[in-house]
Parts: sequence; C-alpha cells; structure tokens
Amino acid sequence: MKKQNWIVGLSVLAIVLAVFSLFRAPEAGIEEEDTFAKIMKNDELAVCYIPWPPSIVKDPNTGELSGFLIDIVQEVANEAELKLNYVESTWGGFPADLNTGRCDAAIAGIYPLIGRSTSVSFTRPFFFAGSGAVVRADNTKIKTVEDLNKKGTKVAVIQGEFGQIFAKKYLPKAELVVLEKSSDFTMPLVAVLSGQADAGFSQTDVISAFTKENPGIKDLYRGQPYVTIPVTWSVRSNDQRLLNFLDNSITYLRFTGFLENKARKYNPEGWFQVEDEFEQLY
Amino acid sequence: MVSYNWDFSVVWINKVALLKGLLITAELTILTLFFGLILGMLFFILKASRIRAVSSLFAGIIEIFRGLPLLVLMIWIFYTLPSMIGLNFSPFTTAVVALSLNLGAFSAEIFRSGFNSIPTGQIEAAKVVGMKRFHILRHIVFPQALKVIIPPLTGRFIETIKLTALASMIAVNELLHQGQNLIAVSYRPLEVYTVIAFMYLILIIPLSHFLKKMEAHHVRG
Repeated sequence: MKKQNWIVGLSVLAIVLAVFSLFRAPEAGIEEEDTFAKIMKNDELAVCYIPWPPSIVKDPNTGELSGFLIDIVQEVANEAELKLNYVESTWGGFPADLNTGRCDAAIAGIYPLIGRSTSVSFTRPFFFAGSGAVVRADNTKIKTVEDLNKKGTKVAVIQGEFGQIFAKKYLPKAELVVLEKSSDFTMPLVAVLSGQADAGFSQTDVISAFTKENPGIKDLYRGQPYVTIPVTWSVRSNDQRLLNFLDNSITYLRFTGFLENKARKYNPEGWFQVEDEFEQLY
Repeated sequence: MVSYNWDFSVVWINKVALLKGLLITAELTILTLFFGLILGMLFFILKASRIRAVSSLFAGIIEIFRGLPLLVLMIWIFYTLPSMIGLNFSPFTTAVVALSLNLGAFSAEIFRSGFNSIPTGQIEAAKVVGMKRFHILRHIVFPQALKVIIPPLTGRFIETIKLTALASMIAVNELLHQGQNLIAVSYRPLEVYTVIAFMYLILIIPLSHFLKKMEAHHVRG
C-alpha cells in the first residue's frame, strides 16, 4: 500500500465524519433542552456519583450506595417525588458525563474552582472539607509545613486538587510528584508509604482513616486542616433551573437541620462542617 | 527497604467483589478477542480490495486505530461520540468497541504479513497443476500463513488482556476498578494492588500456556 493511499483514506474518513457530525449536531446537542422540565416530566433525576468514602460509599460486594451525599440526594428526590438513576463516574470524567447528558447532576464532592466553572456550574456549598498532609512516621526531619519547602523534598499531590494549588503557591522549592486524577484519593498517601515521596497531600478524612490503617505514616497537621474548602454539586453550565432547584433544596436541608444531623452521623470526628467557615488559602 | 504492616484480611473479606471484577475482565477479554479478530479479518480483506477507494479508506482506518493510544480512543468514543453523532454507548460497550478496534487494526496487519509471506510462485504453480481456489487457500496458503500469523497474534491476545485495565478509567467494573473501589473503603492499597496483580496472572498464565501450545502445534507442526 502506497503512503498516499492511506492519506487519501484518512481524508475520506475525516470528510465522512465531519458531514455526519454536521447532520447530527443539532439533535445530539443537549444545550437546547430544558433539563429541569425533562426531569419533572419523567420524574427521574440522573446523578453521576464517584465513590468517595465516607460521603459516597459503594459496597464492593453488593454495589449498594450509602453515605452523607447519598442521604442528601435521596432526601431531595423523596421531597420532589423523583426517582434517582445513579451513574458511576470518575473525577476526570464527570464534566464530560454532564455535558454529554449521561447524567443531569454530579453529586460527588466537587470543589468549585474558577477553571472548572468555565465548563460546568456549581451549587452552593453544603459542607466544608479539610485538606491535610502526611509524612512517614519515622521521618524526624519534617515537622512543619515549612520543612517541606526544600530542594530535593518530594511532595505528592493529585492533579488539579487543592493540594497541588497549595504546594505550587507555598512550596516552590519542593519537587512536586503530580499524580493522575483518579477515583482514589489515597494515592498521594500510598506514594509516601512506598517511599516515592516525602510528603503527600489529601483530604483530612482520607488521611484520618488511612493513618489508622497504616501506622507507617503520620498526619503532619495532626487533624487540623491547612485549609477548609467548600464542597458542592455540579450541573451543566446552562441548566439554571436545575441549579436553582438544587440550591433551594440545600438551603432547605440546612435550615431544617438535616445536613447537620447527617454530618454528625457520618462525621463523628468532625473533619467537615456544615457552617460557612473556611480558611483563606492565600 | 520501607517497612509496612501487611494485612490481607480485607481482601479476603471482599473476595467476591474482586472475583466479580475478574469475571468482567474475562468477559471483556473474550468479547474483545472475538470482535477484534472479526474486525481484523474484515480490515485486512477490505484493505486488500482491488477498488482503490475502499482499500485507501481501510488503510486509513487501520492507521488511525493503530496510531491512537487505546486510552485516548476509549475516552474519545465514550465522551465525544454522544455529542458528535448521538451515539451513547455504555461504559462496558465502549470498552469492547475500543479494544476491538485496537486489536482489529493490529491483527489486520498481522494477517497481511502472514498472507503476503507466501511466494506468489507457489500459488501460480498450484493453479498450473489445476488446483481450485479453495484448495489453494486450504492446502497451500493457510498452513503457511498461520505459521507467520500465530506468534505475533498470541502476543496481541496477551496484550489485550492487560489493556482491559484501561476500562477502569470510564468506570467499567472490571478487576482494577473493583480494586480501586475496595481501596476507597478499606484504605489498604498495597494489599489490594498485590492481589489484583496475582489475579491478572491467574487469567494470563493459563491463556499464555494454551496459546504457546497452539503455536507449537501449528508453527512447528
């Protein structure tokens, strides 16, 4: 097969795809639909979730979902008499899942970053989560966060998470080990445990549970987060009615005490809070 | 060496979850091998077509699917096709489609090298002695082509099993994804990843052994 033949073939294929997408685009686009009207008409809300204990726990054996965020969305659905359709997603994939219509809302605990706001919209926060860091238990050199800001110190963070933002800003001398955004927030801690990094940033709840199971590492901030950040849900950027509905639902669940009760149930150690109190990062 | 307290009890308690993942990985593999081989043969035949437009088109298709990293292809099918042409596959179907296209493109080239390795003189000689087209394929082309095709094809099969782990990126509940879910609740990643590695070997080693036997049977006669 001559080289120019497959170039011709590629061109033909590109033209076919372009024409096909041109014809399909208006139908396939979900921008024109009123998502909230569709939800109310079908009595069904499709929600993307990402396993994130203890907020969203997927039983490994049965696949059954439970947790703080599941209770909240279930309560919203009960009040509005909607059926929930759960769609499993990933941290890297939920914006695309929303924008391709696989789900109407992403109910994972999502931080409303400015960059993310360009592609999806966020509800008002319904709780505030802490971020922390770990080092190896036998590490006597690193006692404070300032000790991390040294040449040759490896700090593991998850791509796009607050740990990375913090480390970039405050630890310019440290070498960042940026881990792929995955469904597993334990990876920076695993990096420390296995000696791949000197310190790892993650969420306080994950650190608390992980250090209990793995005494080989310790919590650098001793349960006190270096920052607490708002946690929200997410919808497509043009779904204003759905966003209002979810915002109003969160307000209602807050003033009726539902959120506070659930926070106490799932959060005995107080790693997250429902009140609007968060520390400034900068 | 970094000290660590190993505790595999969490894996044992949740063995059913990992076995379910292993089953889905096996299912993914079997479907991919089946559709991938069919696609490979189809791509090979169409690329060899005498109609230039068809052969050029399939040469292009093979180049695309060989050239694209599988993870990119999988994510592209899953997230881009719904908004581009309204084709909305489930995560499992997306994984089967992407893996099959990848295997199909590579195996088409393996088939091509196998069939092209037969000297044309042999076929012409067979025609001269009056052999029919089917008999030429059955007795001359296939036995020799298989000897060239089977070794690289078995390698692709093993590779395909390993590539199924990429399906975890689009939330297919295969072995790696089930393991990640288990890690999320148990906070025991080292034990879970170790067991997952063994489970992949359990799947790969018998298949590899079987393929080697098949290879020995066909290649060495």
